[in-house]
Amino acid sequence: MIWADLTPGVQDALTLAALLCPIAVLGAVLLQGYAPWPLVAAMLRRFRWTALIFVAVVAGSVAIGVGLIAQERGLRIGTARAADGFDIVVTAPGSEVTMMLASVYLQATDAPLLDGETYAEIAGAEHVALAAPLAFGDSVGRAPVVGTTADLVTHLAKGPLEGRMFTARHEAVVGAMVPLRLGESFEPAHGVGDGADDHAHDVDFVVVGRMPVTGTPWDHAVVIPIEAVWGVHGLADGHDAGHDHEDHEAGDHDHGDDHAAAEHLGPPFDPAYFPGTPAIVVKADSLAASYALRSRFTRDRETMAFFPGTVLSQLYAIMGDLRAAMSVMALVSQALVAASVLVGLFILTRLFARHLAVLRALGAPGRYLMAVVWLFSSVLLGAGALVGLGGGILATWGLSRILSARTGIAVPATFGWAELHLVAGFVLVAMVLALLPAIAALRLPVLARLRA
Amino acid sequence: MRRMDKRALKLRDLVVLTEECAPLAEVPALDVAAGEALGISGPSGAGKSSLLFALAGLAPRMRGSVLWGDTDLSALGTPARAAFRARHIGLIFQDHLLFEELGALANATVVAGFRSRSERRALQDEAARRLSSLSLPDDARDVSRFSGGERQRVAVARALAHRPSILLADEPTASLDSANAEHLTQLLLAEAHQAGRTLIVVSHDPQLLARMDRVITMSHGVLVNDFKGGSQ
Ligand SMILES: Nc1ncnc2c1ncn2[C@@H]1O[C@H](COP(=O)(O)OP(=O)(O)OP(=O)(O)O)[C@@H](O)[C@H]1O
Ligand SMILES: [Mg+2]
Repeated sequence: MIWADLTPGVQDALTLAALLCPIAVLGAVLLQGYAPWPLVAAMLRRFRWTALIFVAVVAGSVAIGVGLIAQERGLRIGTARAADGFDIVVTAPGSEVTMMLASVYLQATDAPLLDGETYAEIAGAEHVALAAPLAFGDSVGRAPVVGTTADLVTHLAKGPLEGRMFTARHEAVVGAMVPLRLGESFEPAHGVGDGADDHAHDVDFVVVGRMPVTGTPWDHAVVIPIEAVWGVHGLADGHDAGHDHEDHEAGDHDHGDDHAAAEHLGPPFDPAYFPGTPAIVVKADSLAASYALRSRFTRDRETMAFFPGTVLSQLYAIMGDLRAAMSVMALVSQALVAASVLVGLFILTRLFARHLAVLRALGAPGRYLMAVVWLFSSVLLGAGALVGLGGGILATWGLSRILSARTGIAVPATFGWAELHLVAGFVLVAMVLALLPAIAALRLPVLARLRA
Repeated sequence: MRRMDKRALKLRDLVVLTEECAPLAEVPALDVAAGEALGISGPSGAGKSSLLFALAGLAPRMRGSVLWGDTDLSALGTPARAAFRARHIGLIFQDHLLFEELGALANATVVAGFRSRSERRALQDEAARRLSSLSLPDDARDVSRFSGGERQRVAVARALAHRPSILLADEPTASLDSANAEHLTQLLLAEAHQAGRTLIVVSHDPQLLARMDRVITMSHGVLVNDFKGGSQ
């Protein structure tokens, strides 16, 4: 059996055991046959405030380490999950990252448009299960307004809507977190954020449906038919107004003020009346087809097709390098923490130098003095590590909620082996370092302390 | 419980030195029989405590030999000296040196932590017996709340709990009133004469010194008088 053959879980468990084992061996060797606990407990009680401060410092540094690791992983998982529904995105050539941020994470940007022929070609291509154009740029309060097709909403929602899908141009489906009730109406503002122009569009929309929680920024978005976005901007609506549209006769007629042409929503679009879209979300019917479609629509001057998942991995790779750089800094700061822990232990040891001298005078062997000092230090370090682990988990949980609220990406608060390894590694190093003051305790001048 | 052996003291050409090799006490020759009670008197700064610590193997430097029975402490290294103290010597310090955060029994058995399990039991029993015979309350109070006399008695119980063959005491009656001092003097003498422990007491207390089998006087680090008295 070799290491690589083991499951990751077993490898992680073995790594943890390998980190904890030396601590157990160290403790066993030092404490073998001795009973220093009552004395150590009494000293902990006597120096409880100093001990508490020491524990708090250790816990703080451990919690920060645990929190950083867990948070980084949570962000990675959260952003990846948010991109799940987006197999391929086709845009005009430009920055994949910018366009991914715009389409998946709804970070509005000015982008060149793809025209109706391009859309028609993509939508009509073999193995394309879904081709949804996107239109952004408007907002309701802090929620971005996205124009697209009902198919994409169904695809992203991954479950039944509360209420129903939009079937008319003035209807909207909102993300799970949008503070608009079903039946409530709103007027979108042109633009996003502080610069938004509240009364640019004199059009009212009514909320008819709500998506289930998706864990993506779309939870904070208001989705309306793309025809409506084009319409409020005074553009063609993608359909030839002269044609009749029997296929949509089943549409909702409650709102009699709508003229019939408005009821024709979604594909197919007429290229001649297609005002353009900055991004098309494409879903292929198979993985192989995804790759084929991506290369087919990657054309130098016309279109750019990419997998958001791949772009994310590239970003993570860069972040991985950053992480490596940061881990050097983390290591330096951990070393500083270890150094201060060591200094703290030396100072703590001074607190009971006289105890140790008396024990020596009463015949205590050197190993017993070491055991007392080491056990005292280890209790503090162990308590600090445990409190820090708990604090780190709590902090992760709290930070995840804040980040989720801020970014709209559901950042999961996960707890993994890496945190346990970090804590175990810290405890191992600290407890080995705790031997130094223990050894120093042996060298204390006994008689001088007795006379002092 | 292990039987207590008896140990006579034989000092030869002993010079106790400071770390910087300045002489603190010099004793060319001194013999103390097993079970004998020896007093050491002398003015302050004469080197009495220094000599007593040397007899316990606690002097950082010394020349000559300190023979307890057939064991020469001056020839042993630090760990072996500690082991010898743990087994054979009971020490009573000038200012008690108790563990303030522990109660009376925990103080009296503070050496239990490095003893074997069977020894621990015997030590507990003996310490508890000592404490009650010294009429000390066996409560959970920290000794920091104890009076000077109570603290001194805890220190005595600690020195005797492991049934040492040698008992070394530095000014044991210094913090006691005369009744308590008298009581402690009797107890120490009984340890020498009845249990056969070799007792060496450093003291200024004339009452105590008068009860010793023998008193030596030190001045400026040297032995100036060796007076054989009688305590019976
Ligand atoms: N480590 C040392 N370095 C230098 N001088 C020391 C050292 N230890 C003790 N002395 C000095 O040696 C002398 C003897 O000290 P010691 O404590 O043995 O006296 P003593 O007879 O016990 O006095 P007292 O009756 O006051 O307790 C003192 O002057 C003391 O200051
Ligand atoms: Mg003295």
